[in-house]
Amino acid sequence: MDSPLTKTNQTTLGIKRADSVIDLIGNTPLIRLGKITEHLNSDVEIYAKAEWFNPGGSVKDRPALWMILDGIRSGKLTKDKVIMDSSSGNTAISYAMLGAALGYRVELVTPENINIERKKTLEAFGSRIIYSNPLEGSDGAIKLAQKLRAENPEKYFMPDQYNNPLNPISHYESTGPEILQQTRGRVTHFLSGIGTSGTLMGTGKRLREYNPNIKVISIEPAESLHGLEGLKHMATSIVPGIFDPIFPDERLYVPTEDSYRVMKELLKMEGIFVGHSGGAVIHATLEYAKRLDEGVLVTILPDSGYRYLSGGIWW
Amino acid sequence: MNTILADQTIDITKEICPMTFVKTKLKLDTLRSGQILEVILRDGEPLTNVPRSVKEEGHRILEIRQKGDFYTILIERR
Repeated sequence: MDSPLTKTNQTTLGIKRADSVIDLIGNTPLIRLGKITEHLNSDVEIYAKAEWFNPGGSVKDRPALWMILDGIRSGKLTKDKVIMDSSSGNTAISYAMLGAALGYRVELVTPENINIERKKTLEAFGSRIIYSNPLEGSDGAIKLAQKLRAENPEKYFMPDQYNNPLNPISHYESTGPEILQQTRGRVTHFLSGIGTSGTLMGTGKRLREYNPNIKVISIEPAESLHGLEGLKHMATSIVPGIFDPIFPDERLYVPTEDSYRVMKELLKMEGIFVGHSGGAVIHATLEYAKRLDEGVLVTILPDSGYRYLSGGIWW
Repeated sequence: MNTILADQTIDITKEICPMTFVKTKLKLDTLRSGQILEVILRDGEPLTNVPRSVKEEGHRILEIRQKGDFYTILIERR
């Protein structure tokens, strides 16, 4: 299957022109991290995909678009259906944006303790929010969404980002080729945080097909109770159906505190304002890079820090 | 002879399914009820799927005709 984006998203000048907001999804910039990497061997290069450049503000625009387009293609999403899914935040905002742009109603199951930025953003797009037990985290939202679908199969189109193959396929068809193009095929290591694991599985598959020597490395919270929104501690979570635990060459585990510290360092040293998971992946990437004499490491910054301002951990 | 004049035209010959339908749907959203959209599309999947999906949305297909290598359909927005 071809990417639905390739023919619509760029002009010959390389400057985006859009007929609608969905044309702005993907083709995000790749930023080289220069200062925060100064202690590393000079032949080690670290790059990060700035996924907050997507119109919905996060990497989740990619899987959300692919899953919704597949719903339209397969006839499962018709105009009388409501798009409904569980999300800890970013996917919910992508659904809300796409639902508004394409004219579908959207209902989102999300833990009651999501921050005020997310609540207000979802409401602004006109989506209905259904709250799940905050103590049960994202797993509680998953269970409630599954229950709602089982009770109302005619009402809902549930993309099910944890089990829908279109989630990793979106990265196989967009994120992966973009990284190959942006590094001119020089990428040696791909490191990604895992929540649904879609980014890791899809991008990793594409990169390995291009060059089987590219190392694919997953990043998870070190603790079961962590503050890294969007990432999953797989050992104590409902494991997503799309995740293959032996796919990564290596699995890294990051403490919340170190992730927050690196998030602040990125802000102060590079002028890059990322969310919690962005701090986590850069921390893990920097630690991993210490072992290397050379390499072109690419990671994904899922969203921006503006989405977490009310958390008050910036000073 | 074609006596129906379109208010707007969209060329989706470079799009793939289901963006063919999505682009058509988005364009229809910019029209007022009763206005006519002309869609230029490829034979095969687009020609099969776009008119069907457009009808499911409640719009009216007024005409489908071949035009060189492509087809044009005229849709009246509901």
